[in-house]
Amino acid sequence: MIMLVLFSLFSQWVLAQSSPSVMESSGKIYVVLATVIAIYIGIIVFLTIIEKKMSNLERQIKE
Amino acid sequence: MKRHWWKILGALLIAYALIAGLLIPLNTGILDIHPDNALLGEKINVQINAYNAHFDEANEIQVWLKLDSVHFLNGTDIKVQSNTEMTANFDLPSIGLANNRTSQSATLIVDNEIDGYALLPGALQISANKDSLALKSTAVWSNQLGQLHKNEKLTFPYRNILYETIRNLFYHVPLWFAMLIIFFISMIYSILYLRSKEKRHDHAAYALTQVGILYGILGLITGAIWAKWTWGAWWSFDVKQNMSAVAMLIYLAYMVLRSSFEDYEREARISSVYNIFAFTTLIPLLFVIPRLYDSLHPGNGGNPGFGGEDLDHTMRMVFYPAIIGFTLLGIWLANLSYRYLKLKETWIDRD
Repeated sequence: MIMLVLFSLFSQWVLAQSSPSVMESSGKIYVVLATVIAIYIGIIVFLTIIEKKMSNLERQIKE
Repeated sequence: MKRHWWKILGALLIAYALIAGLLIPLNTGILDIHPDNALLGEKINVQINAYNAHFDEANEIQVWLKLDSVHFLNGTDIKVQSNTEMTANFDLPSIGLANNRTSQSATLIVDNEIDGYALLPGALQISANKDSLALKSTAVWSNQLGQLHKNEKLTFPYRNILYETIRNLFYHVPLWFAMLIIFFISMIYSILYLRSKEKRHDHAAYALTQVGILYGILGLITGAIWAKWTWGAWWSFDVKQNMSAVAMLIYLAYMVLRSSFEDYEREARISSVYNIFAFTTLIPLLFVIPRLYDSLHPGNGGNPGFGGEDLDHTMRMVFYPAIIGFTLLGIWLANLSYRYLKLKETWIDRD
């Protein structure tokens, strides 16, 4: 959960930093960077969800 | 290790798509010229702004105007200001527009031995009116183009407006392709479950659908980012955007459906049937409806596909491995979720 909150805070920070002029600069290469980061965050979030479910199951098995 | 070869392959292919997709430079292109209109018979001095060019280092720079296949004009007095900026003079002849036309656009061609040639269609609008009749020019059109150079280096095509974002083709589009493959495998497992009633088939279908939804949502997000800086808005209510959002809602309903049963047998059976229907609606939503309406997406409505010059050999070299890479990564993610579901099942059925 903390991880998810951190990710959303991070992406908000990134969006706040990226003014349109930055995204338009250097042939719009930062648009590609944003895309790659979005995919990366998505995969990490998916892994975090499985991790969380796994921890819950492990706790149940231990009890 | 032998059982994990496909995971390594997937990771390597994605690493390749990232490295090759980001490092291969864009081809040289012409951003704009100034002025962009002129009168027949006028002598003009145009400022040319290019992208990824090496004018400073090049020795044999040529600039041409192409009105049609038999009317060419060589630019003279080329003055290079920097690697991407130069000026050239054009001495426009007094005649040359096609029959009865008062205005016609010409293509600008810039060529040198380092970058090869670059085109800007519609660069200069040439008009004929009563002012142009007063200009008596002795210049004449040439009926053929000089020898142009071809860029032999590995480059991605240059496109106005898109610029470097053409690289998103390796990250945004493969997500959708991988999503389709994954939903397809998921549907196969749902059919298998209905035939065999084996829980592992249902678990596989469930896990694959989760990854498919992840890819679909990522596809929508990456598409919105790309659209914001090329089409001008995060969401332009383009038919393909809307239909993929609808498809995602159909699959999200699958997740809701799965969590709304007490009895596992019923949950598995009904969601398997739903999954088969969901995939069959995906095809018209993503491939039929967008083709019937005007769409901003290439390959839909009146738009040509990413094909021909858009998806050249260099791009295919990265695009196809990226599809396989994202598919394998998706199957890997689904595999983790599948093993969790199996473990949970064994734990619940332990006695």
